[in-house]
Amino acid sequence: MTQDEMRALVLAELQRIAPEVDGAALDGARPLREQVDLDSVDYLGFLVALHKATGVDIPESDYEAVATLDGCVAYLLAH
Amino acid sequence: MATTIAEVRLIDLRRVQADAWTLLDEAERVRAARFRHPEDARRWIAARAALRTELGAALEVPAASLVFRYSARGKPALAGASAGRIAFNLSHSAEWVAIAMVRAMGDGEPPPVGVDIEAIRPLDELAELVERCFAPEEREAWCALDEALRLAAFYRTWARKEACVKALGVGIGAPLHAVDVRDPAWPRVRLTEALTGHEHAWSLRDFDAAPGIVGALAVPKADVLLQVHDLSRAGGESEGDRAA
Repeated sequence: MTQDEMRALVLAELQRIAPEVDGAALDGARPLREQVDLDSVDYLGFLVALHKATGVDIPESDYEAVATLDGCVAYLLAH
Repeated sequence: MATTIAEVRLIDLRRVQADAWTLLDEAERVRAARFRHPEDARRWIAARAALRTELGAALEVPAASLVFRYSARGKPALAGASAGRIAFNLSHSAEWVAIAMVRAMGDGEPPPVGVDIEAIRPLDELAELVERCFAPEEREAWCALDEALRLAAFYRTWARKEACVKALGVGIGAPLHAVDVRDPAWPRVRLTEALTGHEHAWSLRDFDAAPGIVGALAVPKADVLLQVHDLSRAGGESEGDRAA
């Protein structure tokens, strides 16, 4: 999967949980939860949805690595 | 010995004044401006203004004068002249914010407090979140429930767990499965590497923030009087303690 394809997949899962999100408006380097009002259920649900879509499990110890959109894309591609 | 009191105040964000942002400091305004959706920013500003208003009233200082510091995990605490006088925590969901406060007793620092509220809404990843975040015994108890009761029970359990980990200040990466909250009168904090050193007796209680919005208030200390005030009702109706 290319970086663009992975980014589109991550955004699609994010938009399923927060439909109001405009992917183009997000700053990829800033934490998602600073830009989108996601509570803990939303956020962990998002990580579970990414696991289901990609097969990549994200353990608690790696949550910081996936806090941003760029980090999330890089993490999923690397694993 | 005087009883420690933890109180939670429930505020409807739609009732917060439109000029609430004037109470915020520069860092908070910058933080609010990072939200991409105006409604997210409005709720964050209103919740923050409500927090300042409640803390300011409790400390008898102007709300705009309060100074906050943040832990490495982002948990705010009072700094400056008010440092150490009140421990607090907040949570918002839908149009509600819950603000929890514990005042210092005598010369000591107040114990930390955690609060979480959750709007009950359908969840595609329900089973996976239970698998991932519930302790084995909680999972077993949840799976034994009638299907119709599971969604609300999930959010009730989640709010208790979040309130506990927020009180501990361990943040979003906390091992939620390490906190067993089946019995709110005595939640067991199971030991994992990440929670070593956090063994406590607890005071924990459930509350309903509004119809369809469940919450929990937690203090890692035994025998704390836990009070809930709904400021949206006339006179700020109080609910008596149930858990201490």
